[in-house]
Amino acid sequence: MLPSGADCVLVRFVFQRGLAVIYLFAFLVAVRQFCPLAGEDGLLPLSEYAENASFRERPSLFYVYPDDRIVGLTAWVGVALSLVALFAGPYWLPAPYALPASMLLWLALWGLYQSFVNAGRVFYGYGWESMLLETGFLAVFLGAGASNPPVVVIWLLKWLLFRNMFGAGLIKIRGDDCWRDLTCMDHHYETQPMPNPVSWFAHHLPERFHRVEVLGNHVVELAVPFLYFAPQPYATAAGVATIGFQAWLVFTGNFSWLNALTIVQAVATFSDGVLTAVAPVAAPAAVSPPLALTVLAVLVAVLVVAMSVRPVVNMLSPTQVMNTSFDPLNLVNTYGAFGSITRDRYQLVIEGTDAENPAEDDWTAYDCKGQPVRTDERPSQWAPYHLRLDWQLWFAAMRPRPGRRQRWLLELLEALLEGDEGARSLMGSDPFPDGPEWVRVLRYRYRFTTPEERAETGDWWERERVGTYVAPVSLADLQGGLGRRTVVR
Amino acid sequence: MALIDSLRRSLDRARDVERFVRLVVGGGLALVAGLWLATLSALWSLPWAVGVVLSFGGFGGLAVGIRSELVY
Repeated sequence: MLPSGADCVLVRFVFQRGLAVIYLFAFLVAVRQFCPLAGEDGLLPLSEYAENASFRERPSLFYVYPDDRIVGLTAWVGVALSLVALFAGPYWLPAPYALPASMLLWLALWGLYQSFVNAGRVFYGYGWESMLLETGFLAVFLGAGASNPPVVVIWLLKWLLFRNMFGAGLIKIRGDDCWRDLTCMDHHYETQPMPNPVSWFAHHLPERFHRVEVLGNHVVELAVPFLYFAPQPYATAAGVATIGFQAWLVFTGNFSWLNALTIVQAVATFSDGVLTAVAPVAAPAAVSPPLALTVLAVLVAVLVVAMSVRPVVNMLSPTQVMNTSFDPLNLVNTYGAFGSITRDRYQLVIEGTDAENPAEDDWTAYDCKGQPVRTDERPSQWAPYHLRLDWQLWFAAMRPRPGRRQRWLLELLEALLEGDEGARSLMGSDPFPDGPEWVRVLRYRYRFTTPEERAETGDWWERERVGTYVAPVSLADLQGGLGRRTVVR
Repeated sequence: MALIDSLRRSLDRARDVERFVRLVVGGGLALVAGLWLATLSALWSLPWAVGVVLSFGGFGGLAVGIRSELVY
């Protein structure tokens, strides 16, 4: 009944495969998006990071080699190693090699991804980046092959899952009245960063359902996490509740790999007994982990406990801050976001025109991949893939004008005016392959149509223009006379 | 020294833990301790009974802690 690594051999196997899938998505996102966003000629050029950041504070391979070829190579190596991890590469090796190969594999994945997170700046400033790194770091010490995982690492994974869920629960209760009067879900599906095909339907569920949802959220995020540390079968029940909760979020929205990663972490609450009861597999006979791995795992546990002081203090503090790392390697972090829910959905729409003196009818909108632009377009499913530009557009739209954190937007406009291939690859549609003469950014308020409106028009969204985010600018404006400081406040 | 200062600042921030957090954390810890005690003890023994009482007490703490913040 006491915790034992012997009951976690299948758990480790399932956890590692799940984590490999998340890494695979993360590196594929880097392959597709890192260079246009933060590469040599990216919206936030890599040279800025290399020149201005401190390697000790934000260590990255790209600090030493700020080169798109190295970025691309690193991302593809990450993809390849993720596939090796997904297909359980180390398990195919003879017994003496499985453990060191597994440790090297997970260490390499962690180190490579660290380079992207630390050099990616605002485009990599999401809680699930540091969470992936923290999860990936612990995976190094799980071992592989014929030996059990050190049970202490399984418990460190539970501790990570606890901070993930409990931190999210606390920041909500503290952050917004709608979490206390149970009305947050009246707005969430409509105003979340990136709705998916189900969001419209979830938004129109009965009010009472939304109240129960919020109450359920509090139970799953504030009460259930303690049961991760309880004996079986209570821990499994807590894991199932957590997975069910995350599955609903996956079903109704696009939150990158945040929910999928939490589901992977929740596997640590299971035991082999549970997995063999629900799946037609048998737990392999395994031996105790090598002494060296056990000692290493205990040392890691001591390190994690020591480094947990600040995240725990932050969680307990009335002035809790959201997703934050306290060390340059993102080893032990604090989690929690969406403390406040926006009541209105603001949306930026980038438009271009070839007209020399454009009238209002001359403008054509660029479609985004994930953010709604056309009102008749059903929201798309993207998660666990992560559209980094689209998420930043959602944050940017909260302000009536671009601020200093949105200086990438002007770089994006300039790149679109130049017809830059990398920038165009970040957008959904490309009405101006050679670049328009002018671009502008309008700010709209979007809301989901009612069922009656949708039956009548077929539209998913209703929108009204609330302002001009960036007035019409030409390439000459951005490169010369007007200057960015005039546009960015 | 900087680390100690940083820890001291962090502890200062956590000194005013809200009542609902105290209830939830206290309740959660009691619940887990109670479940372990009850699971590892012989049925109907004194430690088992203490475990059951702790579990129910912890459950109550969690429920009161969460309920205390709701205004519905």
